[in-house]
Amino acid sequence: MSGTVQKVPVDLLTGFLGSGKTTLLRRLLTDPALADTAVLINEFGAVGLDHLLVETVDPDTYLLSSGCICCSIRDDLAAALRELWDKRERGLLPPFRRVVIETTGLADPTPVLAILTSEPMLRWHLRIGRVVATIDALAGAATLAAHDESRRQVAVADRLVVTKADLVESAALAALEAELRGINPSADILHARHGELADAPALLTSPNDTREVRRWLAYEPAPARHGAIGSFLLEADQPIEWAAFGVWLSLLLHRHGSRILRVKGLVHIQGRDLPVVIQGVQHVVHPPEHLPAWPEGGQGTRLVFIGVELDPPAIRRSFSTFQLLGDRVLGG
Amino acid sequence: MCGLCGVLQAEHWSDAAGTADGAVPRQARLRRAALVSAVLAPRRARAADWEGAKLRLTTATGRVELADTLADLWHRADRLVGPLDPLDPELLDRLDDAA
Repeated sequence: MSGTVQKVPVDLLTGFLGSGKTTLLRRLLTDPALADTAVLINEFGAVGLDHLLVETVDPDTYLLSSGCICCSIRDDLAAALRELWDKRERGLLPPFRRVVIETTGLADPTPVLAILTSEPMLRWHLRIGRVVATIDALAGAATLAAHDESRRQVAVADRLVVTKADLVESAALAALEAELRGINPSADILHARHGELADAPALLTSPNDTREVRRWLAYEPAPARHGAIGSFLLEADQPIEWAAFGVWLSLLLHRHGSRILRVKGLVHIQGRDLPVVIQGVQHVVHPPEHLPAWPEGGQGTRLVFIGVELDPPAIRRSFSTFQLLGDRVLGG
Repeated sequence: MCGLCGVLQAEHWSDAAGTADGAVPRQARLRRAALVSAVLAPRRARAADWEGAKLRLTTATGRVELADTLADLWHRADRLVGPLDPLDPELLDRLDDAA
């Protein structure tokens, strides 16, 4: 969609305390493919920027030898993003083409995404990119069982990076992956071994290619396990009435967005041949995007919902009622 | 710019209105307002497109508020006519029965 192509994507790097966010971030910052990245982090000390040949631009902003920019977040993320963009506009910083925000280990990433869509200035220049969550292969299962924050981070992620995968047996790794799939069946799972991740830049590429959408939709329904986080698939064979869908989804996320952690998939709209990608994180909906073709498996609306104590029959009934209402009110 | 996108994101409404195919976004806004009115009908409230830029929410008692987005409208409706729950079977029954 032409209106969003020029916007700079903002990716989130999240993960529980000690799960390897910093190691992954350092790996990303040294990759030439990500040299035009600006990084916002909470504390510089943990990242160890000295290893990356740092030039100080101002007290809170550093230029790395790789070309990446690093800024600290003092209190206000929105202010930090505005300042970063302002410096870019005034030529005080290189024209970065991507922003990565490293959240604190205990953070729920969704308020960060909400900032990107709620502030007009930020919304105009930036768009939501990927959410990447790190999970420690050794401690991940125990962390998931004990901490709601960790489960929510996994649930909202587009990509899950299992770190320290070289330190566990393959059976334990498979068991952890099954746990992760139970929480988020649509995320891609990658392994970092010895601090290295094959094709690290691909972590942050566009989420809306056909291959990725195909993976979302190839998912197996997962019953609620950890903390009642579960998922289901909403399907509609007939093309949907778009206005009714927009009204329905906006009201559903307004009322139940705190429980609906992710919704993503394709919709087939009446009168349109190509699919439209829908992605939402709690109350936040990404701008819809068109795909150039339907993935294998045919046309039809298919939306994956991931959330806490979801009631699939109630959501399906609500979807149908709004669609029928749309047909009646709008004469569809 | 496609006319679909204005439904979910406020930033696209004004963009779309300024494009050559502005008729499509305008039609989308009118359709959206008609549907919101149908959803609000059990609470005796209604919505209308306002100047192609906002949604005008009107209650049975004559209170009028302008909402920037659908999300904003639902927030205002919560306050003016009470929370609407799209999973509430009673509301869905009313919508199913709506002419």
